Amino acid sequence: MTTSIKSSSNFLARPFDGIDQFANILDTAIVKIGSDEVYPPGSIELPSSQLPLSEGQIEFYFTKLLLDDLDSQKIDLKTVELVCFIQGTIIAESQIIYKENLSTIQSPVVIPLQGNPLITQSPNGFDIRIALILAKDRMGKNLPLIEAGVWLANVMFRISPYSAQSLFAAAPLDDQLRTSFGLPKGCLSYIHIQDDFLLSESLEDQVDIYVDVSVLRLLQESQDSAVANSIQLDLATSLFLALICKTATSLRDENMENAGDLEIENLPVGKVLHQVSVSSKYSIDDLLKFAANDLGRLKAAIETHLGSMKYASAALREVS
Amino acid sequence: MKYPCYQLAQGRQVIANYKAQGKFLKTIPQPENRSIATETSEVDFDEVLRILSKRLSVAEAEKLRSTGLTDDQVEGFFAMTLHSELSDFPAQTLTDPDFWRYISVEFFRDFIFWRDGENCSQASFGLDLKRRIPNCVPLRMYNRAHIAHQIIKNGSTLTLEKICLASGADFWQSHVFRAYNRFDINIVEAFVLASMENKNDVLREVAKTVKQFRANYNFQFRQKNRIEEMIQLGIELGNIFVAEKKQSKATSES
Repeated sequence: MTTSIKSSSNFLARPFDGIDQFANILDTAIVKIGSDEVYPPGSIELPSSQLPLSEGQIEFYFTKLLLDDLDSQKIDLKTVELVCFIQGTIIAESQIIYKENLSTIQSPVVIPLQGNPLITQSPNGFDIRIALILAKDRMGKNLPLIEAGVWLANVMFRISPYSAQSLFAAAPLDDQLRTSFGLPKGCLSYIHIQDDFLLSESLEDQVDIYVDVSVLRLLQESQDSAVANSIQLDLATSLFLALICKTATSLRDENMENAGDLEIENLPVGKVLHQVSVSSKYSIDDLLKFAANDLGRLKAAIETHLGSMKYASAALREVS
Repeated sequence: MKYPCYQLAQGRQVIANYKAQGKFLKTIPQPENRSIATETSEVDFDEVLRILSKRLSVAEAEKLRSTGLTDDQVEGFFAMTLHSELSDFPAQTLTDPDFWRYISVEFFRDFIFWRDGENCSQASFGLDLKRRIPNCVPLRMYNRAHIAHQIIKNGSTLTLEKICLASGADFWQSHVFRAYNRFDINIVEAFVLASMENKNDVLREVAKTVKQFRANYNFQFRQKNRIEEMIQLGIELGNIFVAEKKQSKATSES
């Protein structure tokens, strides 16, 4: 059979109707490190002293919902595998460390994080992907063919050493989150800053970036391409913009605009402002004023700080 | 056991010092010796690297170039030597970005300047701040040969040399290392085979097609004939693209 796909086809076109109902099924998977550290899918940043990882495991609880969803799509349990891959960040190595057919699987699934040392022994961390994959074609009378190899669901954990550059790792944005944040359906990303961020000790817990779940997956899959870098830089620009604008608003609302009321440079957000100020040669006061009346100029200052021009050029060269 | 490393700042300092011919900096950074967490047999890293750097010198590169190899093929040829000498190093060493920074800066600096140009970016030495993976010249060479070994282990009839010398740097960088294809040896093998009969424009369309399929499929669970069809589809699309490009060029000239 020849699969019909054109070079202009949409990257995000899904292979069959109804596949989206599986999209979040693995979101409850966790990585456990030691006895008390538990991480949901996404970026896991550890102090360098904890890498290479000496022990850890993945845990995943199956719900009956998954089995019902498969049944409603006329997908036989025997044709679906739960697979766990680990992938190296330095050496090009990938390994399947767990593969079990859904018809024989027992909940909870516990997978020790052990495998090829060229993956697991890296001080740079490694990636873990858990996926539900259709291992055999779905065929049947009056049923459209679904080809083997289709991802029904997949989540990724990215273990890496803590770094200031990756403080704000993106989280997946799905329709449920869109609804809970009151966002329009179909929006690509959202930056959520807690209301009391200004006086918090660290911005890490105060700022969340959400990116559409499918786009985030594609972004992770081409993490080192110039296009992906450029998109991430765009997100970083939006984040800085949102932070500085919210800072300006908060200062105004709290009547703290005068430097005497607050030593802004001593706050976590002050460090961001200071960096942008040094790179762009605008004063912090100027940057806060731009946040109120000249967003274009503020964006230009942030782009200068982040070195956006270089990355945009590289991305354009890559796609041309 | 310990192995030598340079962190980003140290590596940058060494390169800055080299470029300023020693006038710029007063102090020369010393490598950091990092402990290996698991027990391994002793390796004299600097001795192995010193001998290897002589085998991968600019003089040797020029010799190979004079036999008719392109610069990229020289890199591919050296990749085999580099991999065979380093593959017994402890896993932690080989997977530490700071180790690759150290060997780039200390042992393969001249070759890197020869390969990527005197004005090459910090990324050629793994010193680019933004990248999670320091895809420096020696690491990309190591991975090139590493993938080639895996393809052969998987039963391919291609030889190590044929794979390592296939296509150009653009192919390895854009379509293998920076894409998820580096984890799919079947796809890289198909790329290598396609590269033998097709030009870069066609290969680029093959890579695009693979990328589109990857969004929905895991290739390890996809039948071999379907993967072949996918590559064939990419080649056909590539040929159409090349024909259209030719036609539009002819139209604009006439």
